[in-house]
Order: sequence, then C-alpha cells, then structure tokens
Amino acid sequence: MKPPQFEYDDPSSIEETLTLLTQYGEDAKILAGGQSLVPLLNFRLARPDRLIDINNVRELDYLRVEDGMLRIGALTRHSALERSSELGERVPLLRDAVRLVGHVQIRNRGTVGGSVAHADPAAELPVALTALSARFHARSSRGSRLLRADELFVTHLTTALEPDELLTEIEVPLPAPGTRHGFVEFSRRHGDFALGGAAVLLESGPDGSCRHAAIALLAAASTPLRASGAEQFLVGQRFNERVAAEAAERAVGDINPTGDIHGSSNYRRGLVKAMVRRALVQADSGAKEAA
Amino acid sequence: MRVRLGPISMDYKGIARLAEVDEESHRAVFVVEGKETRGQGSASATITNRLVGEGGSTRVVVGTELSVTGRPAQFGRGIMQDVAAAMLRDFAECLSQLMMGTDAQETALAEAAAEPAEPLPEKAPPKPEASNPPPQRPQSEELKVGGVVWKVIVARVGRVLQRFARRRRPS
Amino acid sequence: MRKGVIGTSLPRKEDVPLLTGAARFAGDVQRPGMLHAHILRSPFAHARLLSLNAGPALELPGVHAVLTQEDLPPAARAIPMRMFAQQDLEGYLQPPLAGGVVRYSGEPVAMVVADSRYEAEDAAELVEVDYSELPVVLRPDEALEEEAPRLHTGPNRAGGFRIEFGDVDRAFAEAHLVVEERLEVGRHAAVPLETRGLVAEVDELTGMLVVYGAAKIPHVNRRILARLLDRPEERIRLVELNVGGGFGARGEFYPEDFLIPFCALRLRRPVAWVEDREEHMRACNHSREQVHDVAIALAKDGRFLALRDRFLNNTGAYIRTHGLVVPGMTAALLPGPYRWSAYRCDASQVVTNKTPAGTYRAPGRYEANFVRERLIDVAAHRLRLDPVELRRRNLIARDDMPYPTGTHTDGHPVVYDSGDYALLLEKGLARFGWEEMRRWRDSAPHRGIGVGFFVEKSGIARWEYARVEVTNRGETHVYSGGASLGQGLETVLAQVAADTLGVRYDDVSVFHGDTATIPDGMGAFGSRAATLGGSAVLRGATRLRERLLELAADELEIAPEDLDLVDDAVIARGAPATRVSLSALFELARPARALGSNTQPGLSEEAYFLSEDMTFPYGLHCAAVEIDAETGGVAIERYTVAYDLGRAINPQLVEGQVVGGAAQGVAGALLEELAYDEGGQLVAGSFMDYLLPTAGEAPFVDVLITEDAPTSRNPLGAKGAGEGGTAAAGAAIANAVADALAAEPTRLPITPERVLTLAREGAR
Repeated sequence: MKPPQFEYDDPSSIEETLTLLTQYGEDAKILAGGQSLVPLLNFRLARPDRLIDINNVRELDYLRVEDGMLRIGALTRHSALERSSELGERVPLLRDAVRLVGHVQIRNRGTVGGSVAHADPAAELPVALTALSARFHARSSRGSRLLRADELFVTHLTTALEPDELLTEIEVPLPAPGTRHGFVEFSRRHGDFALGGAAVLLESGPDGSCRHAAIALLAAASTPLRASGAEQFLVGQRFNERVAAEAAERAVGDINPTGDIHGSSNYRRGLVKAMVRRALVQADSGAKEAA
Repeated sequence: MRVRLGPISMDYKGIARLAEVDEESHRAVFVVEGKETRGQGSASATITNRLVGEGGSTRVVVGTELSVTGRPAQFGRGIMQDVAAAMLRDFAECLSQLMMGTDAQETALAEAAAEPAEPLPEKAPPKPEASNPPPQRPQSEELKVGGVVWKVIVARVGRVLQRFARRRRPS
Repeated sequence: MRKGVIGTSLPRKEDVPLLTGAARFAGDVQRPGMLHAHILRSPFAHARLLSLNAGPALELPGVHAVLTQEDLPPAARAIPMRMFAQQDLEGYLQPPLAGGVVRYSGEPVAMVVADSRYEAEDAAELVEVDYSELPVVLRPDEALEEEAPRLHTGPNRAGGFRIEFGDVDRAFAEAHLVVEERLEVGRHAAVPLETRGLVAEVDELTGMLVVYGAAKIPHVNRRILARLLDRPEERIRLVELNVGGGFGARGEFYPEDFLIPFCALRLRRPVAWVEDREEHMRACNHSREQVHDVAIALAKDGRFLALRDRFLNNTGAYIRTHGLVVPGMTAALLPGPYRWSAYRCDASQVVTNKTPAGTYRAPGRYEANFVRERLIDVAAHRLRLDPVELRRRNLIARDDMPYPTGTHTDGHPVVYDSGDYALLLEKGLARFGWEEMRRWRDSAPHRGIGVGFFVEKSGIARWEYARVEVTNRGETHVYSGGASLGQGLETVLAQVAADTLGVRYDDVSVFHGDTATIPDGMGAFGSRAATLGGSAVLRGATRLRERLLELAADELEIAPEDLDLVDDAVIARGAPATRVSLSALFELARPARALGSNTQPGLSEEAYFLSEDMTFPYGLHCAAVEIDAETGGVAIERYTVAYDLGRAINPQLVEGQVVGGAAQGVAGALLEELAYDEGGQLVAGSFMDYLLPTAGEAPFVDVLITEDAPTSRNPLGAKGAGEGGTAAAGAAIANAVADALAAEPTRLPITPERVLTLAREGAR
C-alpha cells in the first residue's frame, strides 16, 4: 500500500502550474485534496511520473458572488462551501449536496475542483453542478475555455480536460429567486458514495405551475445525467404526488446503471427513480415551508 | 496494452487470439490475456462478436466476459466494470469506424450492444447506455484505451466480421 | 470481598496511556538497522505456481532478500492447529509460503525485504511469477459436488463430526409441525482497527530472538514458533505491545508470524512488517460463512420435540490454528436455551478457494443463534403463535440447572452451570418496552420487532496463570498469562487484586504478554481473560494476603486474625495506629532476613486456576426496525441487550463490551460481507466496499446487565462478558425484518436489495 515513485512539484501560482502542465502534462497528475488520487496511488492503480501539488496555489481558493454568478475557485475546500452562509442563501442546493460528501475529514481536505475533475458519477458535487447548469473554466498555456457539464464529463472518471489543462473555476448561475431545490441520495452507510440520488431545481410561474425544472441523476450513468425528458414533462404542470411519480418514471426511462456488489443495475434504477421523486417532493415542500 | 480510465492506468503485456470462428452463425470469439507489466495481477477478456441482420443493415452484437485479478479487482465499487465499460465502448467505436470506413454500404450500422454470454448477476458485462449520445471521443487518444495490441484486435475482429457481412449480402 | 472494588465501574487503567499518546503499537517500534518486509501474495484464487524469478527484484537498490518456499527449513512446512485439532485435518494445514499450488487470492508466495516498505513494494512488482490457473470453487455446497475442483490431496470436506442424542427420526415422524429451511450466514471478518504488525530481531548480546507485536496468545505462539524454527522456547521472547483490537482474528499464528522472525534470524537484522488494510482483508482470518439445512419438529402446543441440522462451514483454503473450533461451537451451542428431547447435528468443515477462516467474536454461535432463532420465528408464524410465547414455552427451567445439554465441545460435555432464562426473558422484554414497541410497530407499515435469545459460553481452554507481588515501594504488581486486546484486562485484574488484598486500586499495576517475565499463560480469547485470569489473580492474591498478615503478625506480635490489610499497610483491627507498612514487610521478606528466620523469601505468589467446565452466560437481543420500502434501507428504532453474566467485575466495561459487540453483530446482519467474484477475487477488499459500521450506522444499544445466576465454576462467580453483545444480533435483526415485511429472510447480511426482494416476494 505504498505508491510507486513519482516526481513532485508544488507550484504557487496558476501560471507556474500551467507551465509545468505544458511540460509534463501526459505524465503528470494534479494533486488537490488527494481524497481520490491518494488511494489510487497507494493501490498503484494510478502511477503518474509526476504530481503537481496545487495546494499552494492560493489564488484558486475562493468563493464569491458577482454578476449573478457564484464563482468557486477549483481549490476551494468542500468545508468552505458547507460553511458559507452566502452559499446557503443563494445556492442552497449546493450546500445540501456538499453536506452529503464523505465525512468531515474528507470535506476539510477535498476540493471542489478535485471532485469535478475526478468525474465520479456517484459524487455529489458534479451532479449538483450539472443540475445548476454550471460552467467550468479550463486554462492551459494555449489559452482558456469554458465547458458545460455535458461537455466536461465524458465517462467514468474521465473529463474532456486536456493533459495540459487545469480546471480553475466553476461558475454557477444563481437560481432565480423563488427557485426550490431538492437533493436526495441513498447510501448504505453515512458518507459512502451513494447507490443512487438526484438533484432537483424547480421554478414556478405566477400561476403556480412549473416554469423551469432541472433534474440531475447521481450514479445513474457513466456521467452525471440530466433527465431532460422528465424536465420537459414537468414544465407547465402543477405539482402533486402523481406528477412527481410520473416525472421520476420518465427520468429513469432509459438509464442503465452499472450494478455491483451493493446493488444490481435493476435495483439501482428503481432507487434512482425513488430519489428523483423524493427530491421533487423535497423541493415542493421547501416551497410550501417558505410560503 | 495500456488500459486507462481517468487517473487509473494499468499496463498489461499479453496475447490476443482468435479463439473461435463460427461462419455458420456469424460468430467470432476473441480472447485477450494479459499480465500486469508491473505487479502480479492479470486480466483476461473473452469478446464474442456476432452479426445480426436487421433489414438492410447489420448489427454487431458484442459480448464480453472480463476476468481481472490483483488490485483493480479489489479496489471495488465496480471500478473494473467501469474500466470494462470504457474498453467495450472504445472497442465498439473503433470497430464501427473501421467497418464504416471500409465497407460502409453493407454495415450501415455497427452498434455495440453488450449481450452477456450468460447471466452473471454480480459481474454482468456492463451495457453501454443505449439512450445516451455516444460519449464524445476524448481529444486525447490516451484517455481511454490505446496501444497497438488493442488496434490489432479491433482490426482483426473487423476483418472477420466483414467477411461474415459479405457472406450475408443478399444475392 | 472488601471495599466494593469488584462490581464498581472504576476508570480504566488503559485509558491514560492511550489518551495521552504514550501507548506503543507494533507500528511504533523502531530498531537500529531495521529492514522492512513486504509479502508477495498470489493474485489468483487457485493456480499452479510454475516458476518464480526474483532476479530483477534483487537488482533493485535497497533490496536485501527475496524469500520463497525453497528457503524455508523442513520444520516449517505447515502451521499446526492449536485447538480442536483433528488428525484428518493435518493434510490441510497452511505452509508459511506457498509451494506448488496457491489456493486463495492473497496467499503468501514470497517475502521481499528492503530498506523501506516503499522499496520492498517496488521490488515485489519485479518478481516474475508464472502461474497456471486452476478451476475455482467458492461455495461450500459446490465444493462437495463430485466434479468440484479439489484443493488438497484429501476431499474438500476436510473434517466434520456428528452430535446426536434422542430419537430424532421418530420425533420428526410424529411431529405436529415440521419447519425446515436453508439458512445462510455470509462471510465477514473481525477487522480490528489496528492491523497486524511484527518486529523481530536477534539480540546479539544474548542470542535471544525477540518478537514485538505478539497479541492474544503470546505463550502459545512462542511454542508454535519454537517448533517451526526448531529452536528452544526459552531462546525466544514474545512481547505484546498495545493492541488495537483482536476480536478473535488478531494474534493467531499466521504465516507472517513465522516469516518475520525467520527472516530476522537469517539476515541477522531487525525486520518489521505492518500489515496494510488491503492485505489484511485477504490475509487475516475470515469467519462466519455457513450454510445450514435445519429443521425443527414441534408438538401441537408448540413444544419443541427435536432439532436437526446439517451444516457446512466454509473454512476457506486451509485449516488454520483453530481446527474445528467454529463448527464445533456451532454444533455444541445450537440447541440454545431450550429443551430438546432429540438433537442431531452433522457438521462439515469444507475447504474452498477463499481466504482461510477462523474465529470472530461469538464464533459459531452468531451463526447458530441466527439459525435457531430465525427458524423458531418461522415456526411461530406457521403456528400463529407469538414468537416470544413460543420461546417461553420451551425454555430450560431454573430448577433444572445444572443442565446437561447432551452436546459437547471437542469431546467435553456441555453442561449449563446456572441460569434463570424465563426471568431474563421477562426482564429483557420489560427493559426493551415490548408492549410499547408492539404498538409502535402496529401504528405504521413496514415496522417490525424481533428477539434473539442466546446462551453463550465463556472461559474456554481451562487454565490461566497469575503472579501477584508486593514491591519495595509497597505497591502491588500483577503478572498475568492473559493478554489485552483493548478489552480492559488490566483494569479488571487490578480490581480483583485490590479487592482481594485490600490495597488501593491505584497502587496496582498489571503486566502481561511478555514471555520473559511471565513463565506461561493461555491468553485472551473466548471470553476467558476475566473469568479464568481473574480467578488465578484471586487465588494468588489470597495467598499473598495470608502471608502478608502472617509476616505482620510476627512483627507486631498480634495474631493474624486480629490484623487487616488496608491500603498500604497491615493494621491492628480497632487500633489502626499499630501498623506495619507493606514496604516494611517487603524489607522483612528479603532473602537474607527471611532465610535467617525460616520464612519464605520475597513477597510473590504464583497461582494457576483450572476449571474443567466452561461457564454459560445468557441473554436476549431485542430489535425494532423500520424499513424504507423504496430503498430497502433498514433503520433501527430501538435495540436492547439484556445479559446475565453472574457477576460484573466492572459494569461499565461490561456495557462497553456489549455495545461494541452489538455494533459488530448488527453490521454482520445488515452491512458486512466479504463478497467474491466468480473468479475468487475478493471484491470487497477495502473499506469502500467492506462496510464496517460507522457511528452513523451503529444503533444506540441499551444494555441491561443482570447478576441473577452467578457461576459456581470459579471463585468470582463471574461469567465472560466479551461475546454476548454479538451473539444474537443477527437473529434479532433478521426476526425484526421478518416481522416488518411479513416475509422470511434466510440469509445474512440482509442488504437493501434483498430487503426489496423479500418485500416483493413477501406474504408468508
């Protein structure tokens, strides 16, 4: 359980990091919070020649709201999200999601950028950010680009980031006032990667019917998945239990999750359906409480 | 052969062989066996390809049975199934490109639909999400599965399947 | 007994060093010139080992040796059994390093020794091993099929036995109702927080081979090591350090327990090895996996007529030190607290291509209690009787004690010593709030309540050693042949010594686990440390007290019966100013003086305690669960354990034992499973997939300790406390789930997916 040899750099700026990535990209791996990479190193399943430790790149550690946008530096720790009262008020979905990430030790160390770049479809933040239509800033010495979730997440543990690119920022458009949310997951133990889950945002029109819906599924596919069929179904509907059940049914219409020792594909499909329904109910009841 | 899935990278040296060709049922079975170049683990895959005619097009049904030993097997959370899914998808895509490119008319559609050779509840070969748009090809060749051996296998599978397809051509 | 030391929840002696960081574990040991070992393990579950080339590994800088089976001495061919040994099993013992065939994924094949663990692991990757895969068999029932791959020269049924009394066939033929089920317990493991670790070195000044990191049974393991090394026992010293949990698994003699000392002798350098979690999961004993085909015959009024069982214990690839302990315990204690006129149990120890198995907290009994108590609930459902009432009608009565069960452990008859089962049942139900929880259950769907009654055994392996001494400073030192795995041995033995002698608890120090200062001992397993170890201390302390009083009587010229020992001095009763301190008595007992006055020199008393029979504590687990019908999640609403152990030396420690044990038992019912893929790979090989309970999953456990039935089999009246918290947890949880779903779970653990399957199939 000891990692193989690697070279180690600890740059202190984005520029320095990008230079290193340009030089070593293919053979290097970014080390942020290390909550996924370090176990993989110890199992010798990951064996990069070089680790570029960005924990000293302080300019990547921030959380701020500007121009109707929440901007999260890639090195921001989960616990910073958890403790931000502004985040709790403006993007409560993200706060609810981050609370379900691992355990407190993991949240103190793990970073938002690390979770996104690791692209685990069972991780909470990528799913919440997918529901929130977040966009992801990638920089390299060649320039910078902005990706949507469906462009970024390619498959299990795989993003569209080039070897010389660094994920620098996640921007989240602030949900319209009155938007309700739900985030629900089921795991066998507290803090585990969930077997299924869902993130939901609902925005109602003046007549109480749904104007906009966003549903993202957790551990349902090889990437976080927007349930666009269910979202379209919800638009124009007045919310009730039957509508929620129907939307959940549509959300899992064609998903086919990977089964493992904790649950078969079939079980997980049913579970995701239940999670979507509950997330919708949670979002709806949140609205009632607020009213 | 290097198998990569995100940060996970496993190097195997080994052999690929055509284990069975059944011209009658248009079935070809390839066996790939590899041993970790660093470490003690191993991986073997049995890839069963079958041609099924569907109107004017031909569907290639690919089934895999994967057996892995060593740390990737123990790491759990179905990670090997994810790796297998990535490999299979890549395989299907390579195959599709190969066949479309060389004999597009006959094989209008080469679609990988994983079909478990036998129902194995805990370890059924993963099925690619049919409803999803095919995953975007990563910009870098190295991101998923690469290596010469893999391409050789795909090329050989392709040749065998094309032979089948030609035989199926309505006369 | 004096001063109320025994029976009081005194603060643990172990806590100060642990909480201040002064404790030292195997991983803390640093010796000059110490090398680090890494064990190269087979990735295959079954394969022929064709060749092994260590050449490339040896070329790596920092690498000192690569050992293979060819390097091992002839005496080290196989690790022997230490308990429940059976001649037939000799051919199934594990060699320290595999020879021609590997039989489970994780079997040691070679050992790499280097300057650091990093270098050792790098080198291990370069060792070239050629395997030729063999077919694999993983389930015990499949292993017994004709065409199943065979692991060893002998059949896959390595051993077994039958226990029988009464006319079973007739009872079944005449029964009003027969219930029969196939019941299975999945494979789980002890998984102590601290993995195993050893440091061995040869003291070049004395030639002594010293091994740090012993646990559980240092003297037993010294004997085994001496035999395998062909070296005199007195030239080997095993030293126990702080130990982070054992639960049956840690401390047994494993391949590494030979390899590390052997390597230190061979290289004449200290060698360290700390097991990492990944290898722990594949290398350390597994447990539990059993398949039972079991039946109960009942009369119309619900009376139990006969119990019949045929079960397979999946012991993995080899027979390890425990021999037939686990199936032996299952078969001996399956009858439980009930009267049976007839019983037949056929036990088989079956080898498969999984990690070898041994004991884990309540070994064999967790399984037996699940099987019996589950089947009783099934019978109650068929008879439309309340499951508790069905039990009540069949309990062994208090007046029938001592009660010969008709079973035996390793040939020794099982005779329950004492107990009032009916009383405990009522006390336990009252504590749980059975009627209240019934209403709770009825007030919403998917709620269930269930019980599991158990009779435990404690104090196995008959004897223990103790030495009690007064020092020149007037303090008391206790040396015990027992061992500490974190259970509070030092506290309990100090309480017994303080209480018996009359000295202050704080003035007592307890030492254990060093073969250099303790001549012999049995160790800590099977809930024996307090009962047998404590009884030995009691005996030594009693004799020492008598001698102290006699010495003081001479000095004070007062008859011994008019003296008392209080704190640090012997005083005259009624005239405490007339006194002689213990340190003064120590001076009087120095050899020069003692020999001159014809008295025994020194203030030290050795004692052995022997008990031919075990003691049998008993108790009740009650569970209330609520099931999420969409996810299959099981939430525990209330959990109570009522436990009678005759006498609690330290009630808080007992409670801690029960709560911790229940967490493990409940997790075995709902979470933990060592899942394998069909190729024999352990896929639950890390804590990501092997689901140990966290504080979030372990229920709050309400503990009721009763002392209604002390034992007469030891002078303390105490029965063991270590395993009752685990013993019937699987039974109680499964019965509560059954009640909630109106379905019959037949396998542990009950995963969420199985819950949903049961809910669907439901409706018994």
